[in-house]
Amino acid sequence: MSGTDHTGAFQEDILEKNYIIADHVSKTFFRGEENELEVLQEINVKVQKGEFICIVGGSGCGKSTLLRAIAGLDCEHEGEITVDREVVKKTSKKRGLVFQEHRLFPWLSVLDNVCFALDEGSRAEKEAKARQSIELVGLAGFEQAKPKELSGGMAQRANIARALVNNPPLLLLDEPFGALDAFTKIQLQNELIKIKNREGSTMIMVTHDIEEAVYLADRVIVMTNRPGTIREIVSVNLPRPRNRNEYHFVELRKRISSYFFETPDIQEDYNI
Amino acid sequence: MTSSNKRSKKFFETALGSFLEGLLPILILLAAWIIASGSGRLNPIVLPPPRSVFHSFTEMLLDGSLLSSLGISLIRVLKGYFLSVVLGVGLGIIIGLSPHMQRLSNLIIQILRPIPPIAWIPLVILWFGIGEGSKVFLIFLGGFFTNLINVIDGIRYTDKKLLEVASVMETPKRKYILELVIPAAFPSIFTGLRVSLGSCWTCVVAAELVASTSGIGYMISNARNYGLMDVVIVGMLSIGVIGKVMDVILKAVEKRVLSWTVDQG
Ligand SMILES: Nc1ncnc2c1ncn2[C@@H]1O[C@H](COP(=O)(O)OP(=O)(O)O)[C@@H](O)[C@H]1O
Ligand SMILES: [Mg+2]
Repeated sequence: MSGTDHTGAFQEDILEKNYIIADHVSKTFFRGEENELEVLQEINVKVQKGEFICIVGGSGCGKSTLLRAIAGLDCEHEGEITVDREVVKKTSKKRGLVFQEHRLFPWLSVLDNVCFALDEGSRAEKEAKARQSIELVGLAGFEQAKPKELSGGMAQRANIARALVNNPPLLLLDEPFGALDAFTKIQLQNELIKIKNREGSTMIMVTHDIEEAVYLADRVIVMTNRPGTIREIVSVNLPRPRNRNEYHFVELRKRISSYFFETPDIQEDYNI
Repeated sequence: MTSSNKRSKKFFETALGSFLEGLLPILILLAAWIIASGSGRLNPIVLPPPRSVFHSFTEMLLDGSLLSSLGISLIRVLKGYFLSVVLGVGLGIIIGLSPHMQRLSNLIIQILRPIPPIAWIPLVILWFGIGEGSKVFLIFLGGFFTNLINVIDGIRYTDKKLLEVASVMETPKRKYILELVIPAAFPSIFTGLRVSLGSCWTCVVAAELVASTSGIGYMISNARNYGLMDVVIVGMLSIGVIGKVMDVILKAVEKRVLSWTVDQG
């Protein structure tokens, strides 16, 4: 609330609060005549600059579709998405996207795949940046490997390294850790938080792991099944670093789980 | 029984084993040919005995006529092939990258492609005379469309998912084409290069039907005029063997260049 007496700062404040605005966003896929699939319905949400948002929802409820719309890959929808005061009409370097599948270029090594994301600077400068990013995701030593030589989890880490190397102010992540083992996953979650704190970037991550959502997010968007709507937005007001076994953490996790499982407690017990 | 079965299966899966297995039908055919000729029931004018084919072969090999004919044809083929690659790949990239060019060129390509090079001969003689140019042009025709279409399709059917990655990164156009679209089309382009070399080589006889006095095609048609079927067969088999050798070489190059594709070990 500081700076409300100063008009410029006040405006800045409002803009930061409305960094991303999804305004009545609905999306229907037309697959031939008479075959319509309503995927997103009336998505309204505002995201602050620097916020970490997680989206959870059943598979096929339109999470990837929503991320693609924010990225500008698919702009044929109703309503409007605004990012940093600009209506999203096309893709932009400023909005990085980690795809659900690794999508590495099979003819390039890991290093060259990451370098591909960089357009400026000499080859040496690009390589230095790329190596840093590769090390960050724990792939050091595999710079020269080709995608077909990598395991699924390693390929996914290279994919993340490629998205991180540009330091986009907004990073969209589509189930980035789904293919990773628990250990690497936790490690990368912490890296992600560090990057966010260091760069002040805004992150929106789709995940099917409720614990991950509670661990990472400032707010968790819970979506309903098709057509995907926002069921609730849960604020996670827990201090960081968060303890996954702490009472409030577990309570929040259970609460979010209860949207998906009729008997959350039983489900919980089996999960643990 | 099972263990010996396993062992024999393993042997035929080795490089040498599979080569020998491929050789087997050839040896059987050869044996059948030798026996049929030896029985005296086969008219040597219809099918000369292997002995006389082999005799002609060694004779032509020793006096150098076989190799010089092959050499002359090979050079023609390489010239025509080179042209078909340069123009086919060049035009293919331009067409593949532009939907306009695709719509403009599609019909005309579909109509010209099925015309066999042989049918072009009368026009080609009018346009190029009876010199080297006409032969090279016919061979060029033999490979051009194969290269063109493989490049166009390779570019058109690039994995959209990879293109989306570049779209998100706002990759500059030049880099997008040179470092993404074209490499992604490489497997298809290479298939074109390999198949078209075969087609060019296949065209050599047709090309040398045009008032030629040299080359392996001329050798065959000339021998036919004199009823020398053994020389005809030597010519045919030489074309076959050289074609196979060229394919082996290109396949080896392909394997190196395309080592990144998933289906190669
Ligand atoms: N390009 C498309 N054309 C038609 N239907 C699509 C397309 N992309 C996604 N869908 C459908 O939209 C629904 C939501 O997809 P998606 O956003 O990928 O779900 P998820 O929440 O699992 O990421 C799915 O039923 C999917 O089949
Ligand atoms: Mg998805």
